[in-house]
Parts: sequence; structure tokens; C-alpha cells
Amino acid sequence: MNPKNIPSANIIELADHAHVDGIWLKGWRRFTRHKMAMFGLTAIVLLVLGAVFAPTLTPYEFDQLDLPNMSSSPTPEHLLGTDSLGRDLLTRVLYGGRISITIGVLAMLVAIVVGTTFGSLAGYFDGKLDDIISGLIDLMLSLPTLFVLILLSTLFPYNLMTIILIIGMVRWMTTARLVRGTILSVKNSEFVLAAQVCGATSLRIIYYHLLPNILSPIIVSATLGIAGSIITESTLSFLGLGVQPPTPTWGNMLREAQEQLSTAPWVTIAPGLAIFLAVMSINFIGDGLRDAFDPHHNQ
Amino acid sequence: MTHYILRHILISFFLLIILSMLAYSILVAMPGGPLAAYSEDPDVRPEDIEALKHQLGLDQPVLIQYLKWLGKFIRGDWGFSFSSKLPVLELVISRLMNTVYLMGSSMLVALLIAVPLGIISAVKQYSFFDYLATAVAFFGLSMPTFWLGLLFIILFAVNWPLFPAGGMATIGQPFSIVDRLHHLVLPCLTIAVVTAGIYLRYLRASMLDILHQNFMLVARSKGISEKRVIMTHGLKNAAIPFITIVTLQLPRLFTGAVVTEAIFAWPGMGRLFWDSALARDYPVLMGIIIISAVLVMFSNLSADLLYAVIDPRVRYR
Repeated sequence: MNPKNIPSANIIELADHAHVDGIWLKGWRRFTRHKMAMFGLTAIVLLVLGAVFAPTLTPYEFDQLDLPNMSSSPTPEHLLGTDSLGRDLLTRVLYGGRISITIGVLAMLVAIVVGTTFGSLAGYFDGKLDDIISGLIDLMLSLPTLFVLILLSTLFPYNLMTIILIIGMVRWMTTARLVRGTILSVKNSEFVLAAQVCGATSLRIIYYHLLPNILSPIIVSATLGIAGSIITESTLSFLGLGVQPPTPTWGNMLREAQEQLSTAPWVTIAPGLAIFLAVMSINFIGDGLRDAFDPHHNQ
Repeated sequence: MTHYILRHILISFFLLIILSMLAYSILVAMPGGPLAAYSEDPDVRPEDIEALKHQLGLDQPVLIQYLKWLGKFIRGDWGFSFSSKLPVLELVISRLMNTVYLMGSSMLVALLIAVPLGIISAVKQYSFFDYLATAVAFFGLSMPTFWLGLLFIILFAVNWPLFPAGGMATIGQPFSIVDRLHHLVLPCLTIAVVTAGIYLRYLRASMLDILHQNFMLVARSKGISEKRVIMTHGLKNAAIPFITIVTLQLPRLFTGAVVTEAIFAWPGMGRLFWDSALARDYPVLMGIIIISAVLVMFSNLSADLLYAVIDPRVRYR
């Protein structure tokens, strides 16, 4: 149809609609309709608030001993029970959340930054640089994550910073592959050529023209990455290679609980349930974000 | 095709050399080193430690140590474990068998759960069954393996003592298949539930993608029975992305699950790696690293080739 034939009022109306339904607003509406994602968001907000306000929420300290109430099952005083030293489990789970969630988020950030940088460099400048980076990815993927984690964590001292970096270092490869693949597929488009003709530098093209195209899959993989990092951190702490006691994390609480499997099962239940809830909520949110923002997943 | 295979074998070989160099230098740089345990033992004099270092070749430059190790390794002499004194090759192979037994059975169980559930939940999208399958998937995806293992022990080994809490067989009894399977149930289920969640999620998604394609409509309008439309036209196409996921998991068949093997005292590769890392036993660590890397690269290559078999559109040059 010849565009001149459309009455001008209709064009304005169309333009208005296009304006109102911007991609973020549209996505956010779809996201809020996703019941599981909203459940996940609520649960994770509650967990974070619980961790932040732990000192005001519980009357106990995380390392406060209560020797008359050693290994006590859940009671009104100790809602989730106590461990073998009489420490209140609810308090420890809340304080543990501080470390576990912080590590999860920061390790994900490390992985996303490293993965996006390497992935976009490899995708944009193909040839030798791509060969080297892809080789590095293959090399890192040729060993089980946990083997690499165990090796690295025996090399470096146990502190928060090294644990975050180590977890980030074993988790960047999937993001790098995702970014590389997408950039390879869009870098020959006309808009990239147009930018090149205008004299934009390669880094500017990657940052302003290519990366926005893959923002939504990166956000989804970042969200799911937090869940993965929380599991990785708790696994490391469970093996005794993560954050060391007396600082509680969900993983090292489970490590200590192992000795009381048959006598005090609640010591195992509480921190595990916290990990399970946090990870499941984040997975729900990631699923909702994918449905809301990823055009390839719209059914 | 042959060219493709040869090129990839060559690249893998190159990567293996780099990996072994990196791994060797990391292991040598480990604080303490393999003789750390002796340095705190009052019965062992410093001179003895020096002599032992010399005897094991630990006093030479790293590059020389590495080249010597490489030369022997290629000839099949993988050295002896520092802690158990067993030949590394023998030790690794025997543990490898235990791991393949555990991981193979749990991947099989995971597939048996995930494939039918995934197909039905995609075909009957938004039904009660679909929600049930989604719940199962998220349960598996969000469950930390070690917690599930501990819960299984609390429930089925302590509260209701139906299954043994650890080990591969009852010690001191002659070999019996029933006893073996009895010990297999809990560790196998632990890994299977978590793996099934991942499989289920991906199979449902790729099946849904396919069900909305035009060729499915064509197949139906030709009058092919619904069962055949879904099983032949649908599943075969949905299988391609699904196989990527399964083969990405395939390396675990050989490397095992460190945590599950630790919890259930399963004498597999993961546990051997963990014990050897704690003992700084690097002939064993090197053996495991190389053998798992070889198996990982091999399974990636076979995944690529499997595509070509399943999907005639895929061609390699």
C-alpha cells in the first residue's frame, strides 16, 4: 500500500502505540504476569531483606553458644532448632545468606564481564584472536568445573575475594560462547557497515551497536548465573574449600551438619532449604525474564 | 568429513599439551607440595626429606620435571601414587570403571524420567501434567546435589533403613548383583533427579519449538497418525538440540561427581581426585586430569559426528 493513502490521524495513532509499548515496558508487563517469576521475586526479596536486617530480626548472634540447648529440635525460642554447639540455626541461615548471596551476585558479575569481553572480542575480530579465545574456552571446558575449582582453591588463600574470582573464572565460558555466536551472526548487518562507514571505532561498534542486541540473553544468563554461583559456592564450602567457619555460609553449615545426620536432621534441613529456595526463586525469575524479553522463546 | 575429524584430533592434541603444561605448573606451585605431611612429622629428619625429594626428582627445575613426566607418560608409565604407592594407571582405570557404573546408570535413569515427561508435557502444554513436569524440572534444577544426597541418607538410610548409606558393596561379602544394586540406588537417584531436571527443561523447550513448525501441520494434513507425527516428525527434530545438552553432560560419565561420591563413600574418579588434591598427590592428579580431558574432547567430537548421523542437513568440511 502507498503510505500516502493512510489518513494522517492513523499514522499518529500508530506512532503513539509504538511509543507506549516500548520493549522494556512490554517486557516488564509480561514479566509481572508470570506467576512463578513473581513468586521467585518475592521470595528472593524476602531472603535478601532477612539477610540485611538479620541483626534486628533475631535476638541471637550467629556465633552465640547456648550450651544447655545443644542440638535442640525446633522450639519457640529456636524456630529452626540449634546445632551441636547450641547456635541458633535461623540466625545462622540469615547471616549465611549475606555471604552466600553476595558471593553469588559478585561471582556472576565477574563471569559476565569476563565472558562478554572475551566473547565480543572473539566474535568481532575473528581470525587469530578468535582462535586463541575459542581455544581457551575449549581448554577450560575440557576439565570438570569442580576439578578446576579444587585445583585453584588449593593454590590461593581462602578469602572472600579469591573465592569470588575463582568461581567467576570457571563460569565465564558459557556467556562468552553465547556472546561470540550472536556477534558473529549480526556483525555483517547493514547497520554495522553504516557505523563503520561513519568512522566509528571497533570498540564503539561493539559497545553501542552490537552488545545492545544481545542484552536480553545476557540478562537471562546473568540471572541464572547467580543461581549457579550460589550452588558452586555452597559446594566449595561444603567440601571445606570455601568460606571458613566460624563465618556461617549455607555450604559450610551443611558441612558441619554432616556429623549429625542421624541424631539431628534439622541441622541439615535448614541451610539446605535456604539454598534450595534461593536457587529456585532465581531460576523462576530467570525463566520469567526469558519469556518476557527473549523473542526467540516467545510461544 | 575425514578432514574434519583429523583437524579436530590435531587441535585436541595441541590443547592437551598446553593443558598438561598448565596443570603441571599449577600442581608444582601448590603450597606445601607432596612432602608437606613429612615436614611436620618429628620422626622424619630434614635430611630424609631432602633425600626423598631427590629420589622423587622434586629438586629439579619444573620444565625438566615436566618433560621427564611427559616422556614417561607417553610410554604408558604414569608413575606411582605418592600416598597409596599404587601404579597411577591401574588406580585410575579401576576408579574409572566404578564411576562409569554409577554415572552411566544415573544418566540412564535421568533419561528414562526426562524423555517421556518432556514429550508429554510439550504435547499437552499448560495441562496439569505439564505443570507437574515443570515442577519436577525446577526441583531438579534448583536442588544442590549434596543436600539431596544428605536428605536421601536421612530419609532412606537412617529413618527408614531401606538402603545402605555408603560404599559400593557390603564389605566382607562375596560378590552379588543384588547387593551391588542395593548400594547403587541412593547415589544413582541423587544424580539422576538433578540431571533429569536439566534434560526435561531442554527437551520440553525444543519439542515446543518443533510442534509449532509448519512441517508438522503438513504431516498432519497428509493424514499421518498423531502418534507418528509426534514421534517421527517431532521428536527426531527436537532431538538435535537435546543431544547437545546430553553430550555436554557426557564427560561427567567419566569424571564422576566429586560431591556425590564423597557423600556416599563411592570409590570413583571424583573422590579419587578430591582425596589426591588434599594429599597433593600429583602423579594421580595429572593422570586424572589428562584422562578426563581426553575423554571430554573425545565425547565432544562424537557429539559433532552424531549430529551428522541424525540430521542429514549437517555437513562438516
